[in-house]
Amino acid sequence: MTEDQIIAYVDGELGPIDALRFERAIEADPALADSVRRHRALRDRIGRHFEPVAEEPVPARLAAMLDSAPNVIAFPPKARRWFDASRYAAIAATLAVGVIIGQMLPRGPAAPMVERNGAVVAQGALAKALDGQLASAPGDSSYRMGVSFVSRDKRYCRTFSTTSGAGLGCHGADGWALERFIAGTGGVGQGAYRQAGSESAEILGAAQDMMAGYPLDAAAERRARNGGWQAPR
Amino acid sequence: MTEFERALLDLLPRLRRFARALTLDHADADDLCQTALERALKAEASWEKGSRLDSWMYRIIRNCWIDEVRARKRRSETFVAEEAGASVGQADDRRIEARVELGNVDRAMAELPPEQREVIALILVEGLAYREAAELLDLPMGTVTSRLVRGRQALMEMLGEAA
Repeated sequence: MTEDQIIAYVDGELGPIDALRFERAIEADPALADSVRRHRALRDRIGRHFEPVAEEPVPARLAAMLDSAPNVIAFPPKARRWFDASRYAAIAATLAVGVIIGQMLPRGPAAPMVERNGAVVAQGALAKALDGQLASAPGDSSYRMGVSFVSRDKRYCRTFSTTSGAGLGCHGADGWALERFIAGTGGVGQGAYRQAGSESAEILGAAQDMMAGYPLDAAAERRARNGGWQAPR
Repeated sequence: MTEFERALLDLLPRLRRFARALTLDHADADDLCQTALERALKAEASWEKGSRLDSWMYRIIRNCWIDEVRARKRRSETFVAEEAGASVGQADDRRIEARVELGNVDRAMAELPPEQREVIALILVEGLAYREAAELLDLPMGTVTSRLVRGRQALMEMLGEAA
């Protein structure tokens, strides 16, 4: 293994298959394991060193620059109006051509997704599937779980597919926030899962980009589920 | 407060952290954020709505810092030309003393060439993916990864085995 590969592994930049291959190599090579340990320790140390800056209160002179109308009644601090306004644009950007947004984000209690606090979160059967369903046991759910993994920002995330498309959700305080949903380009209503379809490939690509390390194996997936997908430490 | 201002305010803690990792100085970092925010507010129209505001801001901060470092270099060259002589050695001594006050990580980061330091700041401090960092810096992936590898090797050497 080259130093480039070691670093890419530590940074979570290897694809799932390469990462798995790398893990095997570590098991057989104590010197490589030591190298990984040292690079990981370096990454942690640099990250930890600067982390407190983001926790400091923002200096008033900087915050003041961002209030062009201080005499107008302010929005509540957490109104997040900007996110509301761009929400559909952000989601639409991930949709495959030819899909009607209305189908993806239907309103009402029966819809699989709902807007909450400026995010789109799973509800109903989709939330239930993300909460409890293991990749190995689809049961009679209309959703199929793909890869479960820990993201770089330390959340559990899962990919899923259904007859109408494929998506990626990450668990947080508001439940499962949908990071991506890409509608299928065919097979709707035919019960045809498009596991190898372009939308699944796109979702897996997005998952790979967000992943820290490599996907959870079946045992780790089960443990994470039994722990309620609480953010890993 | 406009939506744009609100979004920048939400980002500010991370922008300050990035600025600190570039400048390695508390006051410089906030001055840099101020300059970058001024530039961003003027350039609001050039930000493409729906695209990532954080990447856009990191890029502005990084460009502002490059400008600042160049300006300082010009100022110090003028200073040396005018005051050539004893005062130069004295200034160096003060700088070395100041260095010692810094934590080990700051000192090690300060030793890195700027092009390695910015890659380390984006990837190790801000957690960007290689591809995101490459896009932001307008560099090929290979250039980013080689700077990252060299920067890391240097840090590891300076910070020692117990990194």
